[in-house]
Amino acid sequence: MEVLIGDHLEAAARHMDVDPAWSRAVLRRMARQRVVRRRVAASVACLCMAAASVLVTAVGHSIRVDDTPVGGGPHRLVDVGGGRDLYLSCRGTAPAGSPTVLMDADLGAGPRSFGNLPAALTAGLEVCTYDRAGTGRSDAASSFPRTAADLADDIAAVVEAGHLSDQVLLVSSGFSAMTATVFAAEHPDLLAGLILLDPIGPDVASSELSALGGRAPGEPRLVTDLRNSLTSDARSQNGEQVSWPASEQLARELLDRPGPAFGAIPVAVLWSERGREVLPALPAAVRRAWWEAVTAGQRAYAAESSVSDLHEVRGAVAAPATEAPDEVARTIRRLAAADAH
Amino acid sequence: MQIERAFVELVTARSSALLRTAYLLTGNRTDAEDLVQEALLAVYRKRHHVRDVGALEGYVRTTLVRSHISRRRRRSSQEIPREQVPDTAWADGEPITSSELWPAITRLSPRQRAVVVLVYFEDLPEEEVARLLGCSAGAVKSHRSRALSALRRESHAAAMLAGGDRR
Repeated sequence: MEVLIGDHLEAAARHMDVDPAWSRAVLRRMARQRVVRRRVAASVACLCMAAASVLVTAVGHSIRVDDTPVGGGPHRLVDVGGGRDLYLSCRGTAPAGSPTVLMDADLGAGPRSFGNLPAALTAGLEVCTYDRAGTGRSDAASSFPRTAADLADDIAAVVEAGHLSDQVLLVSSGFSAMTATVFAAEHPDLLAGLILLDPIGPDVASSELSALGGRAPGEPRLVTDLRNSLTSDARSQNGEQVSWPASEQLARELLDRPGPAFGAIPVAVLWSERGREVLPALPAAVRRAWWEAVTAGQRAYAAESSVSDLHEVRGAVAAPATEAPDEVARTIRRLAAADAH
Repeated sequence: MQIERAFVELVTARSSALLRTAYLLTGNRTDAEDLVQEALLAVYRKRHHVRDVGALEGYVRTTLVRSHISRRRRRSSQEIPREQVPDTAWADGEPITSSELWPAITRLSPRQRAVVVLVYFEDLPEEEVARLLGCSAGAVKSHRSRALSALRRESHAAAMLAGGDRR
């Protein structure tokens, strides 16, 4: 009897396979929870900062919370001009002639989003991360909104004032690919190579909008919400006040110029093999178009260099640096070694 | 980040197993998917308190089973009363066909059904089932015994009815 029950339960459950749309929806809901949590944390932080600011003004004193040493050392504040300091953290030592690896996180993320990747690269390389203006321990910018051009200028100032190697290998994640595009155009002499992790192309938003199509009666609420977010500049509501459309426009203009925008600068584009899993739970046809828009944007970057490498990172869903650090590290080392030669 | 990765791996690699258990508890795909999603998100919300990433599936499974039981308890007043099945004695060891079992399993109480699924499908020892259900091993033994009696009784009655029809 008991064996029969086991066999029967096994047979009854055998047909229960996972619907991929269901598992993507679950992952999507988890991602939404992360965003909500971050927003709550950001709101609390804003309230605390506002309260501190009122307190400081009331007593007529200025305070500096940060006690980080200024000047040399692995962790330091770098004077980038305009009375602003940016926090730079470096580890390892760059051999003579070898570029420094400088990591620029996605918009809305900080150096921690690279996980243990910087630490894994320190043997034989100098690896630096920095807090963008207005984040972490760095001073805020003085004028807003900011664009990818402002961020590129900050990177150049960090490289020069931070006394890094003559050139850097820039590791840029997500949105920061647009910053890297501007940096490559404005400061090519400082750039030894680019590693773009899940880069977001400048035309992705418009392609995603096209994929959603015009408003249809009875369409899913998610489709309406996504269309609204893509047309309302909601993406520019970030803590750094970086205008997404203005940055897209800058990057688009540079990429649309005749000839490869990155010239002979080596570029490696790494995208997450399983990135489809974190796309919104849209109707199948729209999801396909959405994914094509994302990957087309990534291919576009690779096409802008005469020395490019484009490949999927096996097993990665949305964060190659932490999900497949070994593969990302290998790519970085390969570009660093090629430049040293 | 390790915990985030563990969740993605759990959803992508272990959802089938969780769904199968949920299906056996609920009896239909929609409720099973809802139950697994609810359990995954409930644990995910508390991910910063997870001390052992390796035990993540266990946490989700525990949440799944317990939330199923409490959900069934909430819904029990809305359920349609089961059909009357003749109370016929059934001799231990007498063969029954598997097609007669499923309706009988679906009529077990939520706890009895959970015990049957966890013991006979998941092959869990009674102590582990007790931990999952938040009760004593003695209570599990009792649920199991009553569930087996009910299954024997109902399956045999169904077999008798089917035989009567043929005649």
